[in-house]
Amino acid sequence: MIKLEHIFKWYNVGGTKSFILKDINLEIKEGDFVSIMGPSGSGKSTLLNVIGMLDEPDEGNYFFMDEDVLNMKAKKRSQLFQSHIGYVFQSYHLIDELTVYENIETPLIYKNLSSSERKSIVSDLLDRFNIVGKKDLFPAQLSGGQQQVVGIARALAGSPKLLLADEPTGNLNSKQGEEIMELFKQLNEDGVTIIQVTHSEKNAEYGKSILNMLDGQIK
Amino acid sequence: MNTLKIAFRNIRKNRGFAIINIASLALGITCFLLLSAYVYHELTYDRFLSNSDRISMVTSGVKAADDEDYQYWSVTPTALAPEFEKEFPEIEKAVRMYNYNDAALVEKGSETIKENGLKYVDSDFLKVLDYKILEGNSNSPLANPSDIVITEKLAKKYFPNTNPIGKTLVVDNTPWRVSAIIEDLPTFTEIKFTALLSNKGLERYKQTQWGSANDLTFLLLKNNIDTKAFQSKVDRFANEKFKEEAKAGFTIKFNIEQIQDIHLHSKAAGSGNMTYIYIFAFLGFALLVISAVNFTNLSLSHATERAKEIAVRKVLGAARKLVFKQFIREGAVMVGLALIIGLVSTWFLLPIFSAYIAVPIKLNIWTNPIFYISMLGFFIILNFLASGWPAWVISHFKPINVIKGQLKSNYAKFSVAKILITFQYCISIFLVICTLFAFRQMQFIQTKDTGLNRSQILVLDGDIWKNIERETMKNELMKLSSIKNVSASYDSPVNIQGGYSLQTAEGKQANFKMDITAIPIERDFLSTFDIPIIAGENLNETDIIKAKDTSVNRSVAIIINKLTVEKIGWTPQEAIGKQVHINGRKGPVKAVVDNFNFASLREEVRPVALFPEYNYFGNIFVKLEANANSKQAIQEIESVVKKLKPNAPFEYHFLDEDYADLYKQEQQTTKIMQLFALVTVSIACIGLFAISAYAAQQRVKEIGIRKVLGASVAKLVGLLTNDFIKLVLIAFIITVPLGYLAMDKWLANFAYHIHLEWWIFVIAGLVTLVISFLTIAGQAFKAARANPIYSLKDE
Ligand SMILES: Nc1ncnc2c1ncn2[C@@H]1O[C@H](COP(=O)(O)OP(=O)(O)OP(=O)(O)O)[C@@H](O)[C@H]1O
Ligand SMILES: [Mg+2]
Repeated sequence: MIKLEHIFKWYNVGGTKSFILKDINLEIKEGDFVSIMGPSGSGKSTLLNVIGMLDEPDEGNYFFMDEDVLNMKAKKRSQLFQSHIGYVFQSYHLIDELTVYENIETPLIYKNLSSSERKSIVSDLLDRFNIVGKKDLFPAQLSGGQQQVVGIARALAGSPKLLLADEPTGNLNSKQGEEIMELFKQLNEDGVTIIQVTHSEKNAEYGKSILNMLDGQIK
Repeated sequence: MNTLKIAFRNIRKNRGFAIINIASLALGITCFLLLSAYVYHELTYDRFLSNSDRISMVTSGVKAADDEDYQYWSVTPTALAPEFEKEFPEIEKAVRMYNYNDAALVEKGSETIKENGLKYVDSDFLKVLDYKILEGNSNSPLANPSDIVITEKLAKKYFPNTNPIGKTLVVDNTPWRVSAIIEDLPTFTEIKFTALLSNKGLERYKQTQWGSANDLTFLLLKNNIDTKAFQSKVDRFANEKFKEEAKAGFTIKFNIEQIQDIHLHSKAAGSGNMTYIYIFAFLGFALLVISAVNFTNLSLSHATERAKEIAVRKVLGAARKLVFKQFIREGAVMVGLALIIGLVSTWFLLPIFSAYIAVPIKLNIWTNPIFYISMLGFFIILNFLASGWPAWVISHFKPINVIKGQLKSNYAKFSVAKILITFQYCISIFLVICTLFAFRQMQFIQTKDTGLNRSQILVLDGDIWKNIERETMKNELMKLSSIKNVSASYDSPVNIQGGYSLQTAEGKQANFKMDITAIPIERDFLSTFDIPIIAGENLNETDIIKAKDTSVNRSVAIIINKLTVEKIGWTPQEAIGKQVHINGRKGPVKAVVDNFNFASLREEVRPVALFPEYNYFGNIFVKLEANANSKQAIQEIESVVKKLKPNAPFEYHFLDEDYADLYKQEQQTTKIMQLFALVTVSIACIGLFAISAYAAQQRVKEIGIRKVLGASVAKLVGLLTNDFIKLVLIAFIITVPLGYLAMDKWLANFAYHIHLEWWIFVIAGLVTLVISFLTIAGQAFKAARANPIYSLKDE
């Protein structure tokens, strides 16, 4: 599903290249559940953003479902992104002005689904994550764990094949974190490929494999 | 002092913000001051006379039985002043002013120069209108029949190196003795002249009469006169005096009008218009408010950027009061700078503005302490308006929220700011609507076929030519290949003013009598102006000879327009040959011509009569061939004129200019409107820019999230601009009915006008909308295209 070949990324700091990703080669199969670990500043988020097509490497090749991501038109890429990738953030990033329901609905609006289609998808998700009772609340009225559940529900609204999560439990206590991990495990069993970045050994164990990063390289 | 230093440091630190903020306020202040200067100039007309509150002008009104309204004149009969003085104890003094002919030839050495500001006045004239006498006899400078009082300007012109007092000035071969010099007249006066001549020698004052009106009359009233009571006494007097006329259906009235009200309020003699004063006062004020609003909006949006600094200050223990003070000071520095910039640019722009609107505004306020005091008051008010409120809002931010990064202050919903923006746009759109309609109406006036061909017609001064001389000139000119026709008439054919009455004994109605405008013309008048003849024939040489006859057999061929025959009840063919009388002139109707506009398009076409009468022709018209090179033609004309009258100055203008002069006020207003519509839209856009920048900045994170959720750039731009475009639309909806009413009213001033076309409103809306969109779209694009990984970085 994902194939990275000789990926490099660097910033120019004072005339010298400062490498953030150094010769990353990686293959992830459909149905995988990968946990990325490593010290702060080692390039985990950057790698995830490259995979999520939000960031571009300076060198290397990236194939997503056998398509050359780096050499395709921006429009095609955003289509690919829209239909296959869901994002979960450490600080949830829900839209404060929208209710739980509307937050989950937003990506579907951008996919130009009709309102009845949207309604049935959102209802399913609310049901599945047990937040039907919260659908009219605003993010500020939820706990961190609940907000992250909404964040995940939103990421899944477009029924992506790949879920990317950058420290999804970073702002949560361990009990909340565990719940989220259970959720991920369940999703993975349902067929969603997951790549998560985490600092917690315990949470990393939920993955089928663990990647360790250090100074922009995979160990 | 220390806080002031901090204020300056802060302003320098946020230079971009400060520049926009100060510049937009300065722009508003400049516009306000310029418009105030104009309004002030209009309101001070003739107030410089020290007795101005006691000086009145007598004007007259005449109404025929079938007239709807009075016709007003600034002139009064010669008998009025002396009889009023005797009759009414309210009057301290009454004086008259009478036009010396408009083309006085004044000698300067061997040269003769044409002057048109000479007036005959009563000897006590300067006791009523007390212009400042700079030199010479200040007691009774007009006591002798040969006394002349000249203005400083004329003194410099004719006596550049000598003291003019006691010297001789030769006017039309008559010597006058300069008895005094008075200060030049200001631009804000309705009574204009360059020299005053004693009227003691004039025949017309030996036997005063009530039968015709040609003099301006001014009264100096005693103190504390009840003007209403005085006016009704005058009304009674007029009723008594014109009893006979009343029987014939004419009502004659004399109005006592305060001299300082003449300019804006007099129908008889005022050249100003109070409506426009209201418009400009409103405009100036609105611009000031709009730019103050901008200042507030900009300060507030900027302040939230600085909210953290403030929060820290507050957490550090700076009392609320202190933060408030700091902001007020910073605001004061900016308002102060804006005020200074505004004053300086007004100083520089006033002459340009004055030239642009063609009103010679000169103000002597810069030395007036009241001006500076009012500027100080202005500064204080503006400061509270523009920075007091932001300062209050900012000092009430809750520090905890700010530090947490949750700056959802009251202002975040900024409903007040939105109302203010909408208000700005209402004014902008209103002005754009007015500008477009005014422009279209002016264009309509320029291009409307008035039934009289004005193109390629040169107007020469007619008074200086005797009949024979003129005929010679005409013959000479007609030899030139570039000239198609030459003719002459009493006054300008685009503005015929003579009031006459037409009588006819023939036809159904015996002793039929009607008011008619009429004008003495030269033989080739109709062909020169391409006025179509519907029935009958043009004037020929026989008609001219008959008209020149001074015996009792004199017969004057009369030309009338279609409307006249319709009003009498004839067909054009029937009219030909019918005997009519026009104020003593008897003769047959020679031709019926198509209706043409002989006054401004504000008025409907009325009955008009044209007749050959070679007594006085004020204008000579030279019609050039359509393909003639006008520059060359004018040179040829000049050489013909110079050959015949070597001493007379050669002056000419195009008839189109006379026509344009009829709409001077409208042109002026249109120009001011255009200018300030532009400024208002600009200021409103700056405001919109600021508030939308603020909003975009508030929503960076949201934009990032939506982008990750799949929103396209177009969708995000829509999201960011939507709210503001909505405001513009709301403003449009509010403004259209107002604009409709205002334009309906304004266009009603013209008997001939454009329709209230709906698409002009649409264009006004679209123009504003597009400009607004462009203003905010740049930022919206920038925000929408930013990579979300930066805005969504987890801390
Ligand atoms: N715009 C930039 N310019 C220069 N260096 C940058 C820029 N963006 C990121 N970096 C650097 O890239 C490196 C990798 O950053 P990244 O966010 O991928 O680390 P991370 O492994 O996710 O760390 P953390 O566990 O703290 O989230 C860091 O050392 C960071 O300083
Ligand atoms: Mg990271």
